[in-house]
Amino acid sequence: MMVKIFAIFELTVKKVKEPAFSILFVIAALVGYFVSEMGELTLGKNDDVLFGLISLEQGAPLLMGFVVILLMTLIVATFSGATDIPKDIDSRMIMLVLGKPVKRIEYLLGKYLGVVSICLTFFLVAGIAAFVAHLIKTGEVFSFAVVIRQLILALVIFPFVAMTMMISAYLSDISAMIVAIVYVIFSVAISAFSIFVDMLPKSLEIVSVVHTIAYLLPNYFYFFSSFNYSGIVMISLILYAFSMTVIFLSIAAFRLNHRDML
Amino acid sequence: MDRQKQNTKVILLIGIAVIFCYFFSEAVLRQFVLYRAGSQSINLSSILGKLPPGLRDEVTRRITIAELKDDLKAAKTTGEKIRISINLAMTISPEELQKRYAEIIDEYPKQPESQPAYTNFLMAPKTALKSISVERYQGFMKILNKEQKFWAWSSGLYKLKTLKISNKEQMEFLLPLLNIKPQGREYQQIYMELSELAFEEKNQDVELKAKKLSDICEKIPYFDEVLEKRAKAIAIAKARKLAKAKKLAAAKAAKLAKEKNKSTKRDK
Repeated sequence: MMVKIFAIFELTVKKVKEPAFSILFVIAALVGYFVSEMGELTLGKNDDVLFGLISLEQGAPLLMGFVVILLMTLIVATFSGATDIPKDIDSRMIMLVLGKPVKRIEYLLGKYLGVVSICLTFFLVAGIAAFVAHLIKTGEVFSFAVVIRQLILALVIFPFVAMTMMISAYLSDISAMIVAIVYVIFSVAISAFSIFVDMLPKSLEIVSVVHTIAYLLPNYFYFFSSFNYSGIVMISLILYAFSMTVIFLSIAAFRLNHRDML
Repeated sequence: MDRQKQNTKVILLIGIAVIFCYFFSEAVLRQFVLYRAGSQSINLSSILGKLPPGLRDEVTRRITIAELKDDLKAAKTTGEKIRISINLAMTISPEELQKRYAEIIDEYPKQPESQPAYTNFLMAPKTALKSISVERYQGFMKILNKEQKFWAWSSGLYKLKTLKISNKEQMEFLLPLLNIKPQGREYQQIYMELSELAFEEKNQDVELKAKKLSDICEKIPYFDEVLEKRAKAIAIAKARKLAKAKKLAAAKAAKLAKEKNKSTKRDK
């Protein structure tokens, strides 16, 4: 099974050799260079809801530059995650792959890992460029804790790619991209609203309704809060990213198993 | 077939585990964010301030209602329950308030906190849910303390004025005050009202008595001043007690030190 997944993964990652992807990585390095001196992400009382949703008091600071890098990575994830499977279906490439003794779930996992690796590479290239640029510009090296904090942001990529692939299993490439973006915006809005509602008195009848809707959408705000690395919060964050990824991929696998590929 | 069944079982177990992980981690992260948000004291009013005025008022009202409901659930004493339930009904609607006042009179007739309900139905018309006679109102006032009593008198008089009750009846309502020794300067206003009512009703005896009592009121302090003095006296007494305890402790320590010195000298 692992060999087959790896073969699909290799097929997906091979795209990196295309000139468009080479340009993408150059852009990643440039982004890293330009955002290297953006400073820490800070929120004041004037930022209202965000101030309540993202707490930045504990642990190593989150750098604004890395938030920008993550946003760029998520754009790449939306493009590649939402288009990969529909393109294979349109070009009948999928029939060629599935004609071999490869299960649909293996195909999906291989694709997923491939897209995740491309996104992680983009994130790391931009991140390394930012660290090096910071070193060149200031002569200072970021502490280990700060570096780890920025790398934890990459956890967002896993459920995010799974989510875009889940949507792409249902729709064509352009529609999947649009729906993925709308879904993310909707998730952010509902997550913010659900946390905000939690701060309101319990007797307010909307609380349970909002919670039920919020459980259907990922809350990306959790990845931006600062915390100590050890302890239940860190474990929960990893578990959260992992469980969301599995849920999204399961839905995608269910759809692929029942979909007519012709 | 057995293998397929086993696979389904494994998938089901994994699914349950994943869903459990999702809900567990979400709950932990949510609590973490809420705990931190609480420590940062997110400013709800500033968020509400950004809503359009009509919507803001409605949301604020709903939040207030929900907060009062929570407070009502947490209330421990009967007095607290009555006070919060009145505030809650007041926030919901004027009709709800009338209904609640009537319930309070039935449920808690001898509770000092029921005073607003009694005042509300004082000499109320027949169309109201209840009507409290002047005699019953005055009887209820017996259970109130002096500050509450003053408030009951003044709000009762105000209620009669809004109902446009005749001067004679207003005067009769206040008559028991002539037999009470005034306990705060606040009563001066009520006595002056009584003397004016008596003047209009040409009842010289009552007018003179009310004026006399009004003059007495001028010489006594306000309730607030009395409370302030009482608080100060308590604070002074506490400070004295503390100083005494410290002195005693110091004396004890000195005595112990002396005894220790003596015993060490003896040992030498």
